[in-house]
Amino acid sequence: MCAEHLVDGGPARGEAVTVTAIPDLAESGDVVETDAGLRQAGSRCPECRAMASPPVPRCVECAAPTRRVPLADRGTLYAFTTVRVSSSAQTPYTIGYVDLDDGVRVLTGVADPETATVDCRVIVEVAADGSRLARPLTGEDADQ
Amino acid sequence: MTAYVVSGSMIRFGRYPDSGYAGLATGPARAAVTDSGLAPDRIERVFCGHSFGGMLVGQRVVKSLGIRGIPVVNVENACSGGATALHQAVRAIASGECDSALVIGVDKLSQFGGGTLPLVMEDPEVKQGMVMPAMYAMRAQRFLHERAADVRDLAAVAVKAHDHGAANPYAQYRKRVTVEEVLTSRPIADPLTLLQCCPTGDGAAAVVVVSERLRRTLDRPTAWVAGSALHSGALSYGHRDMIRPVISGDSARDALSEAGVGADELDVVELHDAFTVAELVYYEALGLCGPGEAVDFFRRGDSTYGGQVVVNPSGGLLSKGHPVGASGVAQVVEVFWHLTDQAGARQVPSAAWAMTHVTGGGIAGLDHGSCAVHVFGRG
Repeated sequence: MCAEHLVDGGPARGEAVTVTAIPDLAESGDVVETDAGLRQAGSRCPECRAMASPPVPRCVECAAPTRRVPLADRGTLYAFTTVRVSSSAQTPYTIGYVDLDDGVRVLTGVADPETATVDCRVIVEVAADGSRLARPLTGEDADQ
Repeated sequence: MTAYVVSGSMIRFGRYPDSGYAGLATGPARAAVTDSGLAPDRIERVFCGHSFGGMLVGQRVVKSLGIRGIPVVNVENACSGGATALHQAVRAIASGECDSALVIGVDKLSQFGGGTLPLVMEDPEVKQGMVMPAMYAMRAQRFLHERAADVRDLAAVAVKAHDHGAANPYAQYRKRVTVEEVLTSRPIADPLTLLQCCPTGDGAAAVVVVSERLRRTLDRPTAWVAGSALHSGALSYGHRDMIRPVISGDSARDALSEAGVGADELDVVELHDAFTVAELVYYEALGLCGPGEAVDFFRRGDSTYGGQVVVNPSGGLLSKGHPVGASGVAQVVEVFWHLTDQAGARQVPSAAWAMTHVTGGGIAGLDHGSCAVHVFGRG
């Protein structure tokens, strides 16, 4: 019988595996401190290099244990909107998708939305409470 | 595929402060069973789609209909819940497990008092303030950025929806609107205004689905369920193209392939126009026109009466309303009526092939949570 659907390296048959709940509601999980200040936290797989945000304990591609890493703080604003009716937060507020320079897309608040444009360069600022704001970059900053 | 829709019924979508889930859905369920010609005790399965009804909605509905002792399955799949219930019913019949099933879709959004759909607060993007209008607003911004289109094209989609809905006695809103009225209505999530967003409301719909064997004994017009596809979103942490919704494309391809018809053969399509931009995006995803052609397709009038295909003759979610779990079944009721010449003033003449499409769910990392597409043929 063909066994192509089976993978190597699992526990021996009958061997008990202990699993625990992942603390995915813990607020502290989303921020990491670096020499350059607070950054959004992500995770990187040491095996296949796949990135994830918010961080995941195991790689979603190959299931290897991941490493917690700071995400890039610069990126490109893919799209954004000012929300005027919401069940999630007090209005108005502006949110947008930022494609970070390390390849991860994150949803963040957008500062100074009147200066933002589609595909503009942004820097993502992370506050101590974990909130993030993408601020449009101008002039030389935007070219970096 | 060997399943047939033999009957369908719905209440007019709207606000029903004095009706609970059973109150909303019992009428359509009873009418669908009665119109099927089957005695209630000949119904072998019940599948009920809803998102906000709490426990045992299906049982609360059918307990008063003389349907007893059979499996009743409640299905939650966001905007695709009702169509997922149909998918399960069709699979149960096609597999030979049963010969008949009652499919119910119901939701009561007025319980939330208005505003945007409450999403799951565990989700990391919802914590950042994501709501469904915001997601479609960003799609709209990208669409306008990448295409030769402006906000008047978006508004014109709402105008078409309300033109169609004005002829539908089951629609929540039956008033025609102008481009100016759409654009000057209350801003919701820029660039989307109130009339570019489906309303919140209450509603219920039901269909009875039967096997070929049972159909032959019933002697009444039916719609053949020629294709039934269900897809779920795949996780991606990187860039996603918001104007190319992957699972809608995959579901349409699979349902058309199963039916053995081309998208260009469809006469009626009920698609998921939760927001104006969605309709344009889904023309391309479903294959009604080629990539990049949605705006021209729409401007030519190819998606209304006299064009290539009538899209959302019911008025769609924008005009008919969108009680989440009800919509997938209400779309099927609508196309069933067209395929059996029961659609009244809005009848699409000689409709032979129809498609229904629902998709939805806002969760981080997926373009959509779930999408169900069905293809139906006359008889």
